Amino acid sequence: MFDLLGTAAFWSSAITGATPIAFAALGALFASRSGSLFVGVEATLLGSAFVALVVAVQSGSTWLGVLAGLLSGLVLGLVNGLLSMQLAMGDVVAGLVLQILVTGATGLLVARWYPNGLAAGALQLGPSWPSTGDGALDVVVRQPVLVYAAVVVAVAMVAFFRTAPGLVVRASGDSLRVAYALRVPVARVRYAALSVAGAITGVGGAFLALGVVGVFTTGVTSGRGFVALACVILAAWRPVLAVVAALLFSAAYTYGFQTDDASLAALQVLPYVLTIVVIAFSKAGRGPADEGKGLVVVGR
Amino acid sequence: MSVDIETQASTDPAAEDSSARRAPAVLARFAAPIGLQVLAFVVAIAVSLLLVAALGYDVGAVLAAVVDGAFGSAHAVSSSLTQAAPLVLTATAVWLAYQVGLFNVGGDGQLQVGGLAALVVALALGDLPGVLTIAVAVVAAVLGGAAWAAVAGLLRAYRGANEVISTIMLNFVAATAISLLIAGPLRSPSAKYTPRTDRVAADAQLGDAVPGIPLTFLVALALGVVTVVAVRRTSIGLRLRTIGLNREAATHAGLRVQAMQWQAFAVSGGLAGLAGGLVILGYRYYIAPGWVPAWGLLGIVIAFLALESPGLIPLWAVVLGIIGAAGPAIKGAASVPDAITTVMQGLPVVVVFLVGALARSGPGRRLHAALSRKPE
Amino acid sequence: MSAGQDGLDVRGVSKAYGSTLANQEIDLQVAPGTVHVLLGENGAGKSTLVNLINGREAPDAGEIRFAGALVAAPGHTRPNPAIATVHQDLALVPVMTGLENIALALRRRPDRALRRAATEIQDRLGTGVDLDRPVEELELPQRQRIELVKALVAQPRLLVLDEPTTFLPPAETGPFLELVRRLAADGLAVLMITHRLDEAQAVADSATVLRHGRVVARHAGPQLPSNAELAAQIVGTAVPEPTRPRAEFGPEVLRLAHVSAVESGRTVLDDVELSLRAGEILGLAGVDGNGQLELLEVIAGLRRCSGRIELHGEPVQHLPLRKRAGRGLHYVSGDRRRAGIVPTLTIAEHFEVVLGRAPRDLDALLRAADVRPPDPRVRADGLSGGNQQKLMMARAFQRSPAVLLVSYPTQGLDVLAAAQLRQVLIERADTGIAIVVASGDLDELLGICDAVAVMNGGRVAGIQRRPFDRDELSSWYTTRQELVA
Repeated sequence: MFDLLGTAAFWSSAITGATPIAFAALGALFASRSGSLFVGVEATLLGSAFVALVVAVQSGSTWLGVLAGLLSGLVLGLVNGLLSMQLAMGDVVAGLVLQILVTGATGLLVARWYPNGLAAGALQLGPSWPSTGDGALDVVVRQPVLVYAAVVVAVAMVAFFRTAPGLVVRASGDSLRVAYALRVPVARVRYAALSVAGAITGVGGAFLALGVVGVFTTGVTSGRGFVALACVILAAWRPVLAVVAALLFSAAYTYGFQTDDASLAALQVLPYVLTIVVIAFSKAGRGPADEGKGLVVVGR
Repeated sequence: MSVDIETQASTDPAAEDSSARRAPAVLARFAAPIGLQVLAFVVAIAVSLLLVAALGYDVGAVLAAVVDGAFGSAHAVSSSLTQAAPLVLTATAVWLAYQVGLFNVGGDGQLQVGGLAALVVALALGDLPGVLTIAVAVVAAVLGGAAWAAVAGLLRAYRGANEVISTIMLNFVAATAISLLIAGPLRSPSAKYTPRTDRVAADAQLGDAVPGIPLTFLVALALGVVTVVAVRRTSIGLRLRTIGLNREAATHAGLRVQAMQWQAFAVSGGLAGLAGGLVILGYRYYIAPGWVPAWGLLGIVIAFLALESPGLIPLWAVVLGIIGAAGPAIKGAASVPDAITTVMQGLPVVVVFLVGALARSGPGRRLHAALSRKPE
Repeated sequence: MSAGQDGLDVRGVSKAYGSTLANQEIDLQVAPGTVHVLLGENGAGKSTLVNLINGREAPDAGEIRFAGALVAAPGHTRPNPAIATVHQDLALVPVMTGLENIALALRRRPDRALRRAATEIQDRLGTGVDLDRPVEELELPQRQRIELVKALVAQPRLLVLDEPTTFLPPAETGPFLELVRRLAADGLAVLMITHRLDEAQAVADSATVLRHGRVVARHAGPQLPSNAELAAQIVGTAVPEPTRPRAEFGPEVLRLAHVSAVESGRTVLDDVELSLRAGEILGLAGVDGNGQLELLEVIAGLRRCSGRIELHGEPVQHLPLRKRAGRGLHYVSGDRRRAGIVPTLTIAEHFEVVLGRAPRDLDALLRAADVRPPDPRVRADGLSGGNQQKLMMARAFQRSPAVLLVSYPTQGLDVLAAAQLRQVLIERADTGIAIVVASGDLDELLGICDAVAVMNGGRVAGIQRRPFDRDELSSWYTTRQELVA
C-alpha cells in the first residue's frame, strides 16, 4: 500500500488534481460563511471549465482562458443566487437546476462547435519552475502557478474574514437576527458573496480544463463540486484546512485510480463517510448557524 | 429591494429546516395551476428550439424526431414510458420527503442501491420461477433504497445532520461502491472490455403489460398514486404534512416528530430503491457504468414542478421521459447533440419559478390584485 | 427644562400597530448628564418607544429630536449615531468574539486601535471581560458588558439601556448602577428602562411612568416617590370587578414539588411548588421572562426539569408530552403562529391531527365555541387571531382535559375577543377543569383567577387568593428576591 504513497508521481498528480477542488471548496466556503449553501458549485465548475477552454483555444492565450473562467464563474455564482433568492427556489433546488442547465448547455455547445473534441493541447498550463533535480522538491515546485494561487487565496480569505466587510459577511451567515438588527443588507451581502464564490470556483474550473484534464467532456467535473462541499465541512469552514481537505480527497481518488489493489481502492469512499460522521457527531460540523436559511427577495 | 426573511431560532438541532422548506413554499401562494405548467412546458420547448435554431440545426427535424421517438410506434411509446417509470418514483420520493420538511437529494444513490439489491437477488435466485424471483428482487430493491435513505434520515431526525449533505455524500458512496463491485466481485465473466455484471435471467425480466405500456411504468404509477393519496387523504398523511408545515405546532400537538420524519424519509428511499429495481428488471437487466442517467436529479425537478399538484408528477415524468428517450432519435435524425434534451428537461422549472417571481414583484402584484377584483 | 435643546426630546409621540395603541401622546425629556428612568409593565409601550428613539420606525404622530436634530417623525426616520442602545435581547453574534462583535456593529476592523478603545472603556467601567472569547462562551452578565462597551465605543451622547439588570446577579447590580451614574456624570444622557423600583430609586434623576401606552406620571428628581406609590402607578389602582363567582373546588389534580429547570447554564425555574384543585384557575403573573412560560412548558412536557410533577397523584415528569396529554394534561400556547396553528390546514384538519379524526358534530362544536366562520372546511389562515385562539381552545376542550395550561391566551387579540376568551375559561373551570394561565396582564388575571402566583426570577415570589391585594402583588413584581445590599 505504501509503495504508491512514496512515489513522486503519485503526489504530483494528487496535488495537481486537488487544485480545482481546492478552488471550488474555497468558493463554497466563502458563500457558506455568508449563509448560502453553494450547491451550484458543481455547475459553476463545469461551466467555467468550458468557457475557459473555449476562450483559450479561440484566443490562443491560456491566461485569457483563465480570466474567462473566472468571469464566467462569477456570472454563474450570481445566477445561482438569483435562482435561489429572486426566483425563490432555495439554495438546493437552484443549485441542482443550474447543474442540469449547465450540463445540457455545455454538452450542446461542445458537440456543436467542437465535434472533434475540445482540447487544450499546447495551451495547457505547465510547471512554474524548471526541474530542481530533486524528486521530492519537484513535486511541489513544478506545479502550475495556479496551484500556489489556491493557497494564496486561502490565506487571503482568512485575512478577509478579519476585516470589517469580512465580519459583515460572517454575520449574514452566523446570525440573521443580529445581522438584521445591525442593519446588514443580508440579501445583497449574499449576492456579493456568491459572485466572489463563483469567481474563485471559476478559476478552479479553468484549471481543471487547462491544467488537469486538458480536455472538455460532459462529465469532466465528475462530482468534484460536491466533493468541495464536503471539504468545507471537513475543514470546519476554515480556508487553509479546506485546501488540505481537498488534497485528502484528491489523494484518496488518485490512489484508487492508480492502485491495483481493489480493496484499498474502496478507501476512496472514506472522505465521504468522514463528512457524514462529522456533520452528525461533531460540533465542528455545525457550520454558520443560519446557513441555508432560504431568503426570499420580494421586489418593490 | 425589501427583503422578506423567514427564520426560526431554535435550540433543537433537529428543528432547523433545510433551505428547501421555505423558498419554494412561497411559490405555492401564487400556486402553479395547470395553465402555468402547460405554459412552462411550451416556453421551455420554445426556448430550446430557439437555441437549436440559433446553433444552425433544423428545428423541424428535431420536432419530428421527438414526436417519432415518442409516439412513432408501440416500441417508441414503450421506451418513453420506460424512461418515465423511474422518474415517477424518484419524483414521488422527493415529494414525500418534502412533506415532512426534509430534502431527499439522495434519489440517485438510493436508486442504485435498490437496483443493485434487485440484481444480486435476481441473479442469486436465478433457478427459481421468474415470478418469485421478481417478487423477492422487488422487495430487496425497496428495502435497499429504504435502508440507504434511513441512514441520512436517522442522522437528521436525531442528530440534526443536514440531510442534503449526507444524502449527496451517500450518493457518491453508492456510486463508488457499485463501480468497484461491478469491476470486481460482480464482474461478469463475459465482460471483456468494460466491466459489467451478468444479466438477469429472461424469465425474471419485466416487459410490456400491454404492447406499448411497460409493466414497470404501471407499477411506478400505481405506487405514485398510492403515496400521494396516502399523504393527502389519510390521518397519517395529515400528521406528516403537519410536521412539514409547522414542526413546532406538531410537537405541541403531541406528534412523534423525529420518528415520523426518519420513517417517512426511509419510505422515500424505498420508492427510489424500487425505481432502481424496476430499472434493472425492466430496462437494463444488468449494471454497467453509466446505467443511471440522473434520474434522481430529474426527480427533484419534477417534484418541485408538481409540488402543490402532485397529480402532475406522472405527467411531467412522461414528458421528461419522452424528451430523454428522444435523445438518440434527435441525434440520429437531426444530428443534434442529445445534450439538448437535458436543456429541455431543465427549463420548465425555471419558467415556473420565474413566473412566480414576476407575480411577487411590484408590477406582478398589481396585476394579480387587478385580476382578483373580477367579480366571481 | 433646557433638555429640549441639548438632550432627548420626545413630543406628542403616538404609534399604533393595527388596532393596538402602543404609544399615545408621549412626552419625555432627558437632559445630558442625567439619568432618566422609564417605568412600566410589559406591554406598557416601552419597547415601542425605544424603537422610535432608535429611528428604526416612524411614529404616527409627534416628533423625536436629539440635540435639536430630528430623529423620528411621521413618515420619516433618521437614526442618530449619537444615540446608542443596549437592548435586552443582546445583538451579539454568538460565535464571534467580543472584539469582533464590537467591530461588526461599528463596521470597523477588529484591530489594535479598536481593541485599545474598547479596553479603555472597560477600564473606565471597571469591567474586564475577555474580548477574545466567543460571546457564546461568556456568562450573560459578561455578554451584556460587551454590549455596553459596544455602545460606548461609538462615543454616544445618549445611552438607552433596556432592562439592563435582567441578567446581572444581585452582587453586580450595585456596581452597575454606580457605573450608570458615572456615565451620566461624564455628560452622557441616559435613558434607562426598568421595572425594578429599588434600582430606579438608586439612579434616577427623573422618571416617567408608562401604562397602557400613556404617560401616567412624571417625576423630577432628586427624590422619587416611594416604591409603593410608584408600583401603584405602574400597575394601576383600579380594582377590577370580580367576574369570577365563588367556586367549589374538587380534589387536587396537579402538584409540583421542587421543580427546577436550567437553560444554557441559567436557572429558569427555581424550586417551584404548586398545588391545583379541580375547577380552580391559577394565574401566573409577573414580568415576562421570569419563568411563567418555562413553568408551563415544564408541566406540559416540552421542557426538562428536575423535581416532581404529579397528575392525579401519579408522577408524570418522565413522560413525554403526548402521554401526559393522554392522561388529561393539555397545553395551549398563546404563540399561535409558532406553536399552534398550521395556516394552510383546515379547521377540521386541526382536529384530525390530534384526535385521529374530526369530530362528527364539528359544526355544532365550532358554533358553540363561537369560532367564526364555524365552517370546518375553512383554512386556519382565514381566521382572525381571536378565532384562531378559540379554535385552539375548542380543540383542547374536545379532548376532555383534566388540567389545561394556557400561556398568554389573549396576546394580540382585540378587547372583545379577549373578554370572550376569559369567559370561556371561567365557564370551563366551572365544569371541573383545572386551569393554569400565564399572562402579562395582571388585570386580566385578577378578573378570572381564584389564585395568582407572581413569578420573579424563576421562583414563585408569592401566591394570593381572593380577595386580592394589589399592593402586595405589585411588590412581588417589582422587587428582587435577594436583597441588594
